Amino acid sequence: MAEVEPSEAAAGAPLLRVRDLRRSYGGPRSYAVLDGLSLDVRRGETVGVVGESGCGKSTLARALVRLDPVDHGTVELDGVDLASLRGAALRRERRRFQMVFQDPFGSLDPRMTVRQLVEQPLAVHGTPPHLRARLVEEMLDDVGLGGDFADRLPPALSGGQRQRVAIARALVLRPDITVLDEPISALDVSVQAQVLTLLRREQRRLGLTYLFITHDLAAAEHFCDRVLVLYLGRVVEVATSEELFASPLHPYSAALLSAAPQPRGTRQRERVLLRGEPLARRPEAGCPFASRCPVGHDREVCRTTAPELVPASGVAAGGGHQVACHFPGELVAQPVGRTAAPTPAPDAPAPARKGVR
Amino acid sequence: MSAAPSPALPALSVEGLRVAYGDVEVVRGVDLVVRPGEKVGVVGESGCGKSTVALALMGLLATGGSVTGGAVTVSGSRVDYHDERALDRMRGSQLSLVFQDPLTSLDPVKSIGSQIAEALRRHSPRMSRAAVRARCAELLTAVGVPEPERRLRQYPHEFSGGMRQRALIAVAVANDPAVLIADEPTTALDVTTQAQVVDLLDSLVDGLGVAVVLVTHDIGLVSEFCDRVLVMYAGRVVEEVPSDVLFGGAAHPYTRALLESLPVPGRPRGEDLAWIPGAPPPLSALPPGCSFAPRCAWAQPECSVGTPPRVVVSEPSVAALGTALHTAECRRALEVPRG
Repeated sequence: MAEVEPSEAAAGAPLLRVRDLRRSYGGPRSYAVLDGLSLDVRRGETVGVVGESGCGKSTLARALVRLDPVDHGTVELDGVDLASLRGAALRRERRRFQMVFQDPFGSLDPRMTVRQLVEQPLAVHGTPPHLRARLVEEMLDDVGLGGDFADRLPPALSGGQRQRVAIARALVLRPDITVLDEPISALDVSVQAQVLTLLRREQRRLGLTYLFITHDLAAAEHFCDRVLVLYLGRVVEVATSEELFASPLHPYSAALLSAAPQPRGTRQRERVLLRGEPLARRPEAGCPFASRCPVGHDREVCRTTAPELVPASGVAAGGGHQVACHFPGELVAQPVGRTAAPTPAPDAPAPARKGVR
Repeated sequence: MSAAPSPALPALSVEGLRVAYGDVEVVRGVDLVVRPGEKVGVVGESGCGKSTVALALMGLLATGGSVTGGAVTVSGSRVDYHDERALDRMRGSQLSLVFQDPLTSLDPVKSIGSQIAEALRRHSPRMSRAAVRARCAELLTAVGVPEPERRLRQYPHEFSGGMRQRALIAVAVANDPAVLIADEPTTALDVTTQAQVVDLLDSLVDGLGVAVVLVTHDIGLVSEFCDRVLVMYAGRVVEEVPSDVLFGGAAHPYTRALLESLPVPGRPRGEDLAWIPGAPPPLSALPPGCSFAPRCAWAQPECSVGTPPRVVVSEPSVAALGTALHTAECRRALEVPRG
């Protein structure tokens, strides 16, 4: 809740520190949907988590905000371990971490007015009534739902308007960290842009910190400072947006980025088609991506030894680029052959072997 | 629509299609010509009528919906939407439809093989069991499902999302239709799987010569996959544009605004995206004149009077065979700066 200087607080300890997070589902033959996941989020930062269905990104979101319990590992917010909190102590801390869900239709009580919906979190967390009205009006104005919108009911709102109400409900508490779980996936493109812009403006104004969970790579690139790529419950690559999208080192990241449809004429890299079918579970041994990997499918080490997430060697230092791969940087999506414009990689560290298919 | 540059008979020709639910007209005069082997995209936001067009063409409108005007011709013969038996013959053999969600389109209690076989028998009742089985395996192979013999005996829940969509496409092309209408066929799929399914559609166009109408909200996808794109707004096609010139050459203010709201690669990070103010008008209470005018940055007073004219932005050049006409339904189409 303390007023946050949007300045460089990055030097200190991370705001959110997750270590070795595990979350399993199922009885006797349970499976760890998240398997030893670690991540840091610094104050004022937007960290993206991307991956395809089943990679554990929504499980991560729910575990972080304690909607689901955690089997193993720590989730520290400013040094307080949220994973160990129970009861009243957990409720007290809850206002510091908020969540915005994907479905703006299912997450709002249809019988409450917009004003009541935005006031509710304040009431729950004990803000005195005489302070609430001003905070609510301010928040509603910020998300463009002031005036007569405040008295409407959710069914009278469009998808984008509902999502703005959901955002207002989360941000009115001035949370330290806000987990955004696919906040724009259910919206039309022209509305997506509006919601992203709103989120960014509020971030600048209030010094907010976001964890942005998405399958939309273009949105992640546009919106996030750093991005984690998740595959079957493990982080396979972490890098700044710029670095990840310019030079992904993990073959899965490279394939994923190349697979996104791109407007004709703007495609820079050929698509990398993956082998076979996505797996529903991590294999017992080896790299979880090995069976689909253009680089490692026929390599012994990839099938037998799981690679650790380690700092990428040779990459421009300081960015904190990390990758979990035995052969990072080996798969390079071919530049589109149209105008074979020679783009000499300035300091390509890895032997950029081409033509891996 | 004007004369096609290709001499071949269009695979599908739609003129002035109108669809109403009760008193509300949701498709308000849509023209669409698809030539054999062509890939045409129909894009627009929710509620623009794009899926209704797909359902209407198949004669599958929900109760209360009806085609109130227009003419639809498939491979040269006019479709009569009041003749259920003729529609039955047409569906699958001339026009086929693939829906967004393969899990709800496939019957969970029937094997994949029996569902493909059902489609085959529908149009070729005299086909022998052995021939049906062989053809089913052939179709599964054609859509890229490995081990077809084993897969034919499996049930939908044993297939992954991408494989289900492949199976559904196998059902759709079983009777060699002239046009495959795909309504958001990859929206429920992950990007890497989507890339595989799009590749499959491409290979079907090349291999079977089927034409594809891709209905989607994903402008990136249509512009990459399709030859031509129709942009719909409030029940009308507001722009028809060759994919090559969509980005950078769109003429309708709505299309341009949509494109500007996309976080495309290369757009500087931190730069705010543009968005379209307001919301699409309810179809039951359309504004007078151009439906987009109230939200349009380029609107002038006269835009709110009368139907906006369809303006030819560029004619296909004779030299570039296969390029399409570029038209926009906007009185200021030629004034809006493109690029």
